Amino acid sequence: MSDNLWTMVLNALFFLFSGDKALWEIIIVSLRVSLFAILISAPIAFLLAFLLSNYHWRFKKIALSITHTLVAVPAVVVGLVIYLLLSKYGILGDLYWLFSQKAMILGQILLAFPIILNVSYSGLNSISKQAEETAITFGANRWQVALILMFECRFTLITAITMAFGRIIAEVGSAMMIGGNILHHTRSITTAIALETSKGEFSQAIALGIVLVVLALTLNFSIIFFNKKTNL
Amino acid sequence: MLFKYIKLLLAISLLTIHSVSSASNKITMATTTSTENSGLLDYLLPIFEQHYHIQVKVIATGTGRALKLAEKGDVDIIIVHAPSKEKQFVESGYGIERKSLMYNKFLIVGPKHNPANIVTTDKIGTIFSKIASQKIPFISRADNSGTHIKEQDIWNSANLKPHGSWYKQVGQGMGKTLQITDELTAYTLVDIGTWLKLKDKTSLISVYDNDSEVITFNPYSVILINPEKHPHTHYKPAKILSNWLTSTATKKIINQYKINGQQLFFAN
Repeated sequence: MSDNLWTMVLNALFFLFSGDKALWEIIIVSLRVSLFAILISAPIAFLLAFLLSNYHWRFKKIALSITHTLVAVPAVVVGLVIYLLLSKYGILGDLYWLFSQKAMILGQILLAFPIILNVSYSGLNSISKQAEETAITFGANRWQVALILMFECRFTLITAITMAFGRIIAEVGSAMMIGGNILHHTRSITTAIALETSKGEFSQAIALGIVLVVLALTLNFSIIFFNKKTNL
Repeated sequence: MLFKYIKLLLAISLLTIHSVSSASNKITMATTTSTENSGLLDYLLPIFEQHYHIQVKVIATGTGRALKLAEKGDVDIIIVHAPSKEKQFVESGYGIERKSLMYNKFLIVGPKHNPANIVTTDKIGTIFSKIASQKIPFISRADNSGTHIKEQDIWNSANLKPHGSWYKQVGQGMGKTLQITDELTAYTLVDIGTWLKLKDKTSLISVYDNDSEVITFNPYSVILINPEKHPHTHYKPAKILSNWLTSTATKKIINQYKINGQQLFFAN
């Protein structure tokens, strides 16, 4: 039996650096799905955060508490909801999206959106009114004001995106439920780790685990970095 | 000083965790998802536990992982269904006292509208080549489970190497694989136990159900872990379970287990 921990880790590193095709394919699926989810949810979340922080309307408090709650919704619940919607017998069954990357992206959007909205809202809300007033004095229209304010708190917005990305790339519950872990199609880093562990093939699982940990470290260091920038 | 406190805290928390999960009469069994999903264990084990006061913790997984867990000494007893792998396991000294427990068979299930044009007289090899040549979606367990090993045997015996986007490897348990098969209007190989339990939850139908072909025969064995390799395993209570499972009285109980009037497992 060759699989003591040390040889498994060595194997894992070999897997990673030898450019093992199957392994990198899985990493690319994960990155692709998560990046698409961020690309779609970030602009909408930013805009909504801007509207929430700059305009007063009746249901603002309720809307805010709902988004706060959504941040805490477990990924498996999101997975369940999407599953029921996209299943053959569900409302959106005719799309035939279940067990595809589209379904995974949809699930991750639901997970990323509340985080981006919340963090960017508190950023936009705490920014001084001075910038806004200056912009208006110089004759900026509503859209330009929005862009200027977002630029002013760009580091918070980047933090928001980073946090959301960190959550969705490390998420396994909904990815497994609605992606289906299909090789070459919907097998992501996390679902592959779950599978390889369940097969008892630890080397690939460890290799992918290393990728995830490195990603998480990079993301967190960049959050610290951007937070420092914001405080200056 | 600080280090001492940390050690103390660690010891206390480990003891607490230990006290939660430790009782003398507990054994751990790794088994295939088919025995769990079919409901057999839920039906069988309470009878054993009540009689012998030995608690059985069940890890339901593929045969591949069950064997790996057993090799590492993480479990005390296994029920698996992949004869070639089982022989290897016993020959390499990890397993002892391998006994045949029961058997049933494998089926092919697929969509009602029969996209692969399967007829009832088709042999299993013919069905597999019909699916492959027309590139009809086929869902593979792809998890080293007994069912997956059987599926590979059938592809091999038909001289086919499945690949392409129609051949989807999901790496999941039988229940989830049936769900995916249903959603993607595909075909899959399934053990009859899981199928009878779950078929009402899908729109799939059985397209191959044949007692005459040897290849779709599905035998289950119970194997104990060699206490010489892993002295910390609970050999004695595990042996009691193994003896009980293969006793004449238990065979009757296994044969009585039915879903919708159909017998799921046949004791040897």
